[in-house]
Amino acid sequence: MIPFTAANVERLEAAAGELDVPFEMDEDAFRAFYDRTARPLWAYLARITGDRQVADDLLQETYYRLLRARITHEDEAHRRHYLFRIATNLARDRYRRRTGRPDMVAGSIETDATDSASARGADTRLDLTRAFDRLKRRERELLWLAYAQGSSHQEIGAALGLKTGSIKPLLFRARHRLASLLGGHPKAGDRA
Amino acid sequence: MRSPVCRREDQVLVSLQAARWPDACDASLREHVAGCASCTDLLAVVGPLLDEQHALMQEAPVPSSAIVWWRAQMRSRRESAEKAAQPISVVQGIALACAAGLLATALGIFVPTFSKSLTWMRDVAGAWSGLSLPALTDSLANPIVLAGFAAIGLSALVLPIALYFTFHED
Repeated sequence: MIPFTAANVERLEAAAGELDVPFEMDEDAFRAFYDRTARPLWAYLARITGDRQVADDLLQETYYRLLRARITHEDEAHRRHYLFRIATNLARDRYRRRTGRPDMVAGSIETDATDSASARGADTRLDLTRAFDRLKRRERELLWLAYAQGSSHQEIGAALGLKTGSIKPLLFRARHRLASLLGGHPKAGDRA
Repeated sequence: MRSPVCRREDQVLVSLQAARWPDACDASLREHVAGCASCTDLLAVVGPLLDEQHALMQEAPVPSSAIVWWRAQMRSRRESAEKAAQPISVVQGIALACAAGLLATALGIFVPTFSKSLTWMRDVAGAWSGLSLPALTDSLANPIVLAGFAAIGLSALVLPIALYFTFHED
């Protein structure tokens, strides 16, 4: 039996550290995947949590859990859906732990509004932020994945844990609500 | 509630996402959107969402992949080490509990002897203060007192050695 001395404990810890971590992918594969997905994932987290700091924390946690998941993914798309699923669950867990509504950090909508065009852009972002804040958590997730990320209903279902068939009506209601919150509808030729 | 299904919704969405709306779209689609409440909602939300996505992607303060990988490695190793050390901590806890139990038992047994020792210490203090060597030697002749001194001496000798073997680095 190994005596329980401090030196032995340190040796065991070091030995545990040397056992190479059985991550789901190797470093090169991870880095390539991360470079393709980190920004969209951060944007998603920032928008659904309404907090940049939280998005930073959850981003790191999401990738860590992906690496530790030890799931063999069929392809890149599958891995990506799984990544967004982890992120969604982490954001939901955090949301449940909080007592109040998520606060929108002022910095998240700060823009350099030095000319009228960028000032208009900042106003639009502020409107969207306010409107998004008034949506339900699931509505935010649905709208972002569908229209900002351009995910298919199947992909949204996989990321949010919903049946594909239920996405369309849910999305329709969320979209209608956001359009109302944004204050009226644009004319058909508005978006250039 | 209006019907959630508009058969041209996907066309509108694709046009918006490909930045073809409105100029690069055919006139029939523009006419349709003008008269379709569902597609008008779509138009109202997709534009701002795409702009926001674009802005956030530019601003995203994501750490480099190398840093994220390194942090994940470090964390994983730390967690593995903690997991490996867990049984040791449990055994150490049990050992401490046993030691505490033994100490309590020993105290229960030796309390009567301890009270006798207090009497002896009083005598010794008196002997020292009066420089009475015979009284001191008489006291040391007491086997219980002698055993106490022996235990203290032995502890003083053994404790540093035990500490050395516990904390030494190979």
